[in-house]
Amino acid sequence: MIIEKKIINKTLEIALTGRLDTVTAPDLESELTASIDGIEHLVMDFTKLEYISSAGLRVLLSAQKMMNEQGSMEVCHVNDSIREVFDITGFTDVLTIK
Amino acid sequence: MAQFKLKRLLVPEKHDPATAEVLWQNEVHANRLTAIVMFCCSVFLILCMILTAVGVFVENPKTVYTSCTAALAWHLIPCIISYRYKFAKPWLKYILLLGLLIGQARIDCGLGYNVTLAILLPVVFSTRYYSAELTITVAAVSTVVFSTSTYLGALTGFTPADLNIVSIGVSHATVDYARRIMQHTFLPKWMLFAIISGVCAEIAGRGHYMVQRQANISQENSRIETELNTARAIQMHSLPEVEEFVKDRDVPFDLATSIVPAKEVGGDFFNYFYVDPTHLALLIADVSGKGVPAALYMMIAKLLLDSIGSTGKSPAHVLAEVNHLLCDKNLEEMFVTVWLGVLDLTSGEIITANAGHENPIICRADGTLEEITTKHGLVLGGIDGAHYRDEVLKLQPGDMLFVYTDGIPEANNPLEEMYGVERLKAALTAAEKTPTALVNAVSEDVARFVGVAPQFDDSTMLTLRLNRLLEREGLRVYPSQESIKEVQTYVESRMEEAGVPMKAVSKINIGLDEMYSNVVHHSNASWAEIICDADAEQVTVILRDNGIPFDPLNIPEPDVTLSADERHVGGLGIFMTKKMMNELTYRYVDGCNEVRMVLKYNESEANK
Repeated sequence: MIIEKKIINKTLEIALTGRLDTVTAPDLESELTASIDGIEHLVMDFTKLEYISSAGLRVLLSAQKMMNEQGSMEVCHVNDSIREVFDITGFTDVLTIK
Repeated sequence: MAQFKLKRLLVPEKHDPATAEVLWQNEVHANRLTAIVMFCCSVFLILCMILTAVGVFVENPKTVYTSCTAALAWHLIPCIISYRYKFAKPWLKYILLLGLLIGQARIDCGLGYNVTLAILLPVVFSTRYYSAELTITVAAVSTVVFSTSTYLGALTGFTPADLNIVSIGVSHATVDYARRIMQHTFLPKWMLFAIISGVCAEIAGRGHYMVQRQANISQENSRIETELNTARAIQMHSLPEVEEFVKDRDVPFDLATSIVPAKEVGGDFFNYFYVDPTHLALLIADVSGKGVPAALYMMIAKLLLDSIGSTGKSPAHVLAEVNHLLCDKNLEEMFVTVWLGVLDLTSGEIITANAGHENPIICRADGTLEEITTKHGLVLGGIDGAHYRDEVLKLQPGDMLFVYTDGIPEANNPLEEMYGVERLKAALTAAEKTPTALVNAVSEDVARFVGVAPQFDDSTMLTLRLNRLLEREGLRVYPSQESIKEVQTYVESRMEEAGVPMKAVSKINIGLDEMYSNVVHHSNASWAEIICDADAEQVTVILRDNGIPFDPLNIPEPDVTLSADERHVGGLGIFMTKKMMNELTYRYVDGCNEVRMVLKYNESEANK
């Protein structure tokens, strides 16, 4: 998985390419922990993300919890597979998906 | 001497059933003996009368006839009564002894000097009932009855005068004469009688004690026998049964076994079990010694070999580990010889290690025999730290493996010759090539050779024929973090080959990630196997591991309606997989967790 980060003012944009699963989720988690301080708006771009497993959901959930305290978070460009995962797990209601 | 309790005559002593039975049988025998003796006495009484009639006995005929006739009645009637009841009534002994006592007293009354010993007879026979109480009672009654009979005999003039004491004739019998008879004849006789009675009572009491002891011993023996039989059943049930083992299983081999312990329980054992779905462990072992000690040691050795053998470690490692455990606190210097092999059912390779056990024999499909003479390690339980070596043998489909314990080659015939490995090989060569036929043929050949000679060792055989090889279908890995990528790549390439639609690939990838990461992080398994089967309609992924039994379908479903702050991700992966797959099943089989995922898709998607 490739993680691309962009910080503009207090907005952090993260674009993911590949898969967010057991193997790659820890990378995303450490990237987030490193950059999230002082961020008020987090955008996750899933355009090139193939799929996401529960390990990925765990990271998304903890990010969402952090952003609930310091601002907002949105997930955009979600493909069908990932949309289905979000639907099944109820994440559709938890995340802001655009 | 046993404590004397008169009331025992009326209220029988309480015995346990076994002792009571022995005592009762004895009483019946004693009744019979007493009756026979009384019958013999009757015959002699008739003989006396005849001898008197023909003049051999010069006693007064009238005295002889009256005394003998009366005594005859007292002897014969109890005989007939006891015969009528087949000597088997508890009251018969009183009738018999009383009859004997009064009958003898009646003779004593008329022929006192001729039958001085008559007074002893009832007491002597009472000892045969092994009851000191009965003997003492009979002695007491004898004293009364015989003193009366002697006195009456003297008074009525029946008892002839003892010329050394008195010089008067029969007609001069008086009270004074009777008193002198009692004083000079009966009293010294009674003193001797009292001593003999004491001895008889002691003998009877001792007899009683011996019977009781014997009954206890035989009871103990039968208890031990029962225990040994139960122990044997436990031991035999600890061994696997071929029929049950292959039931509901598609096995690529045939198995046959035979075990004949020399005693109730033995030290030989064998086992076979799946280490995993493609590896079959086979083992045969022989504990030093026989009987109960060997059997106890066998159970320990078997348990250790089974549990360590099923971890999937190599045979040499298993033997080394079991040896180490057996050496700990092995005070009795027991040991066990073991041959252990793990057969890879996909290749026919057997990894074997030998701890001082007999050489296995391979019967090749073409009929040739191969005795495997690789170097043996030391017996297990001998020296801690002993080394064992893995050797690799190879079976082709149709080949048979024959392992056995030394009870086979060391079976001896009446000439003290041993059966030997050469005769064994000849029997194997001649036998039909199925495991059952092989085992039967060797059993019969050994039995023929042995004949009537008793066998002192357990003899055991285990035979396997490999019928075909299993196809290795999947990927086998050590479930490390690094293996996750390898597993993903493997499954993906299988799906790519089959042209599985993208959407389904993603779903399978997610399911695999959820299930396999569980195996990696929580199972403690030493291997995992992944099989992926895809066609135009569905993908099936089977995930096996030899880790801790864990049923992922059995965990509570997460609440997916909670807000982010209340959410936990635990259980979510399994929940997702369950939702996305058409089938998700779990089973625990042959020591392995097996998760099976099936995802179906319609043809239009497959063609994308």
